[in-house]
Amino acid sequence: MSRRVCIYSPADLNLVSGSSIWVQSVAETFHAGTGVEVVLPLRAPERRRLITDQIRRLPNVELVDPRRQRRWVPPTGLYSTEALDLIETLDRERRFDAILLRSFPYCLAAIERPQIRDRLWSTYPLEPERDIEDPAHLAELTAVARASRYVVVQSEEMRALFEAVVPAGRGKTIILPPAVPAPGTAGTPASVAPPVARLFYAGKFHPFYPVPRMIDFLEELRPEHPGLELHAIGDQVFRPPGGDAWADELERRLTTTPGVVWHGAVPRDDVIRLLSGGGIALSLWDYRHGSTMNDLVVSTKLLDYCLAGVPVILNRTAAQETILGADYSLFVREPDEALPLIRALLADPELHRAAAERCRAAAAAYAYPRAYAGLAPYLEERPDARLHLAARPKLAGSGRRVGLPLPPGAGSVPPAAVAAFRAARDAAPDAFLVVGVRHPAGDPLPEPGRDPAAALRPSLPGDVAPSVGVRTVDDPWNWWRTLGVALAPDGVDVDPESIELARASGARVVRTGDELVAALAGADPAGAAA
Amino acid sequence: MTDPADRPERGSINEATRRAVAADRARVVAAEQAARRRRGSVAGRLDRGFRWLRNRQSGPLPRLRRVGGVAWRTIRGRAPWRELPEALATALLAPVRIAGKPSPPPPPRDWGPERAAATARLAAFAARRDLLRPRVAVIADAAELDAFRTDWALVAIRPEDWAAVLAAEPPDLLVVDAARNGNGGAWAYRIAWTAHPDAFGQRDLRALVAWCTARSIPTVFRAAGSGLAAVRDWSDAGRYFDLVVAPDAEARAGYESLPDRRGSVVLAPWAETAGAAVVRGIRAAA
Repeated sequence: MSRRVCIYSPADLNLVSGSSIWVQSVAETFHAGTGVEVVLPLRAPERRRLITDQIRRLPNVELVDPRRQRRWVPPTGLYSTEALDLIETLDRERRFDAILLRSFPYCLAAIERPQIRDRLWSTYPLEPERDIEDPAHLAELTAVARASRYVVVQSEEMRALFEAVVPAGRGKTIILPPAVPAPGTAGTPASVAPPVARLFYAGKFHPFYPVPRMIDFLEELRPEHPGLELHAIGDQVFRPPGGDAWADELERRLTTTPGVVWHGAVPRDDVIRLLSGGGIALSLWDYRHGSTMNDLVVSTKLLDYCLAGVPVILNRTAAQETILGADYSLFVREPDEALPLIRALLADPELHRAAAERCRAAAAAYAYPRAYAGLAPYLEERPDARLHLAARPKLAGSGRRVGLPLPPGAGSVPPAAVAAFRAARDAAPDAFLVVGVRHPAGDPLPEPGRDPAAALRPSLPGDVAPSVGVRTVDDPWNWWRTLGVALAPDGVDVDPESIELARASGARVVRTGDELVAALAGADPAGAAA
Repeated sequence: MTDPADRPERGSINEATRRAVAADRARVVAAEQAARRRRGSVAGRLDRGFRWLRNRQSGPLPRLRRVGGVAWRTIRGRAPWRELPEALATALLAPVRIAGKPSPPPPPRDWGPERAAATARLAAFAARRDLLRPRVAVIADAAELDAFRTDWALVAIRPEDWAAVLAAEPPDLLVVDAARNGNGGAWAYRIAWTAHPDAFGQRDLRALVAWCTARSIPTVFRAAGSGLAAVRDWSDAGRYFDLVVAPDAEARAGYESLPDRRGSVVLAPWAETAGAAVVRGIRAAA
């Protein structure tokens, strides 16, 4: 089935930065789908073709010059309304099936346009520089979530945050991580990079990325390793409003420090080629100059490092632990902790190889076809797209938790369900039953500590009551992440829609006490459900 | 999200800050009045008119150009006529509400008065001699619950009905342990850092602490783990409480370095899990 997708980001593709590389990555992701045609309007006229030439290689991707919208476009590019006008024009010429629009202000403007908002995929609306505790901003995020077809976020962690602060986004928030070519495909390194005395940094130069500290590391290590070099890639130097001293000093050190090789802007494929020559990549953050919301973000540059098969020293964050595993040996809490790790990697080829292999294996999960497969049900409007929203990783410890989904207005906990759970608890004393009453659409969400579902508690027998929780379920997609087993005894009026979601989430659906005992016996007490 | 009970009250701003805020407000009001006068004048009206005419996003020219584009596409591009009304309406009337740059972060909250009030709550609890066996609302895992039971009359609260349970018989103290499961599983995924909407923002925990604080019931968080992980793994939960009992010096330093922190931090021997150890910590902080 042929699908037509418009991708728009306010990033200027003349500059090599994380945002412009992201555009290339997303174009490649959609291009991986069969019969998907991508239209990519540019914000600014082409002046440098480092990124656009990479996109032009893709036969099903069409770049649209912003001068289609107005004859003279300033170097800064189209204004936001002009960009939306251009998208509307292109949509009228040939209708898009999905309009992927990145950045919160654009999404907020686009939801006012009736022609496009029903196909709007509002992408990455949570921005670290905006305060998610500000009620006005929350109201705008809620409006974006309500009006959009889907809200697109980068990672499971970011989805949890978005759905926590914007309940209107529950059940329509999908994940589109940055992606890389599948390891081993044409143009990617065939194996892990060799251990070479080189350090790498690729990306923009901003105080959040402590490049001056990386140069300090180089200077400290050069007496021990005279051949050591730091290769810096990128040409976007942030100039803080307070003055140019930071940027000037960084540029001076990048150009005059012995051992530093500053490549400037380099196309993404060439970056990977450069990295695959071997070395150690540094992906360090200084939280004094950036939000901790970055902890939930998957970085494109990290995936590039991984694809090249170089070991990466990086901050320990939730999203990065998901990519590399919590036991990856090169996580740091502070940039300064990187120095001993660089020293260890330079001294120990076995550590170098093991870390590089871990990184390369991690890149496979973010290959273009895998990333597209995650989006395909929504783009192709498959009938089971709603169920795919429930297919989320289970939380640790969910295997011993049992869900009993009841329809709205349930007045008591059915005795058959209590009997089944009682029998199972004898076999698994740490089992916990959560009775979930479906939240009636339109009703206000329960206040903390005052859940109307608590009215079911008097119907619980005293012996099982301590092992039973009750709650109103307004978010079944996330509720099933916390549960490994769904209980639906014969003859009990359970919520059929929730049972469907339970199956899609990977929970085992059981009907009798014996089946429940068997399901709990197979679950790892500490780990996630199978 | 800011809980209503968590917002700074008048009394939480010190006098110098209050004077500075009042002076700033007066300046803003004067500037607003001057701007209103300027807007109402002929020159102001003309200026606004010219600015509107020149506006590249919402002025009449870009709107007319959009209308022309719609007409052209309909006539020459053979776009469907049924789409014409909506397309024209969008071209003419589509709002151009573009969110500006994010507003600068608010100034750091003055926690001094909150901390003084927290210390006063702890001191009042420590001074009570009538509490041989205090009634304590608790969230903890099974082993800790058993240990607390020897010293306290426990109320193992649940997320769904703690407000009604505590209102019926208010506790003398709230103690929340860094618990993965919490009261048999009732508080699982609501206290520890977990990528789940129940955990982000710690809505339940914050509401519970705010409820106790509003009723002058002291609140204590017992951190677990070691080092900075004792802070990070629990999403800085301790910062809402009157007192954090830290397991080691590094964790204590970690909690003390949190800028938005209501209470104080004391070090407690981690081996002691009984309620008596918590009470000793309260006396030390008070």
